[in-house]
Amino acid sequence: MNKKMAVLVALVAVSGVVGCKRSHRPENAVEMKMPEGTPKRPQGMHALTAKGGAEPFSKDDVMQFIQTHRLAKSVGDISKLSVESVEFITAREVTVRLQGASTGLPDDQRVAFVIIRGPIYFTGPPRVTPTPVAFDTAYALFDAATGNLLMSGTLEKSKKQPQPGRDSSGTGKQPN
Amino acid sequence: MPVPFRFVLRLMQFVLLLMAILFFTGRAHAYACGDSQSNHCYGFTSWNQGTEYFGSYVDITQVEMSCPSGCGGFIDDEMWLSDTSSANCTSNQFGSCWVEAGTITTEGNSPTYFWADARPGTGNTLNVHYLGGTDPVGTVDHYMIIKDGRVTPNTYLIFIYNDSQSTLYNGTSSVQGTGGCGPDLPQMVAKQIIIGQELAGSPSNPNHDASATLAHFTRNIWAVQALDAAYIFWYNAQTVANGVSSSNPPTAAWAQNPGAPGAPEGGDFTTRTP
Repeated sequence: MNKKMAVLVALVAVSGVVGCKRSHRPENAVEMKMPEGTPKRPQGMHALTAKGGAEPFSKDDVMQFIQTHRLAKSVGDISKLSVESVEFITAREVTVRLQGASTGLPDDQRVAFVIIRGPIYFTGPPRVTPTPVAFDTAYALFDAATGNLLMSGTLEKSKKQPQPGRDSSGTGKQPN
Repeated sequence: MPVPFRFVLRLMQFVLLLMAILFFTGRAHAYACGDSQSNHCYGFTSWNQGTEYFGSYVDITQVEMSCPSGCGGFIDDEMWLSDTSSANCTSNQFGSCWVEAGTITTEGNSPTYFWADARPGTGNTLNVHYLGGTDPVGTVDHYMIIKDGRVTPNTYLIFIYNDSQSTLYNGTSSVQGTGGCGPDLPQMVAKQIIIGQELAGSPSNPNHDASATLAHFTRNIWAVQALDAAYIFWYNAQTVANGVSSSNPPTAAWAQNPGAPGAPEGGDFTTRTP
């Protein structure tokens, strides 16, 4: 009797484990496999020339870059942007400063965290934001070893925002 | 020997015509896409629904994409998954949350895979991730965004890959941490998918205009549930060819409507500049 009970309990346990791994098939849904390879580490895009050493590039190098190269998703005059600080820190510390944002980099990778003083303007998807949003500060993240630009984004939002005006986000039949 | 009046008239007509052609040819390539008062230009279509899109996926062909020095901006082909109604999104720095993935070419650079998110909450919101150089022109790459229900609070996983997975990048879009002070913010609830092209910049010289040859957006599908332990993307295909908006440039159009005879799954949407 005890043997039968033990077998029964074992069968229930095994079926439970298997059941947990089997997905419930949603009604009328089609199955697609997820990618399963080993992802590449982000390499970023060419930006600065890294000279090696404790400070592979200077504040002036960064200033020259950000005043001549627009960060993705930004608009407005970039010639008046300035660099507030350049710090060489680890990717782990970047995640803390960005409130948990994942960098996709190994925790101990050395990067340059740059704070840019604006105003600097960013836009969203079409018709989601009526005008660009102004920020007092933004950031750029460079690979300390290669000088490549790895990330960029927003920090402090400006109190003074642009007023809705000309919209260049598209004409024609309105998407639903 | 005097020049006949009729000949002079013809010559003047020819010169005027030539000037007009040169003027309008130059103008045809001019664009003004974004300053501190106005947004970028887009060619796009979108889908909305009352219930949640747990993820989205699209195949996009790599095309000749250029933003030469002096273009003053960027050009991209991409997909957005967005939430414009949840309280933690309407209160963030942009008034909405989104996750996006695509191929971008910034001034003077080569095409690069990227993804970005605008997260719920009031702190750091927008983060753009530059991943690496793209596959050769003509390659069909896969762009996937999927909510991960295996973790709490939920994250979004982003994958960019090709058939052989010789290209495979991933990313994780997480909610803002509260530093242990208070409960975690809830993740966005996406009810909109947008696909298309974004163009930024106002080059003063048409020789510096950004450009992108015809890109195809096929296999437009969306996830019907979040990822669970089985790690499967359960999906439905888009079945409606919604309206198209074009700033001209970018120019967008449906080449084949979803569900049309012989059309790829989810239709075939196209973008180009000029």
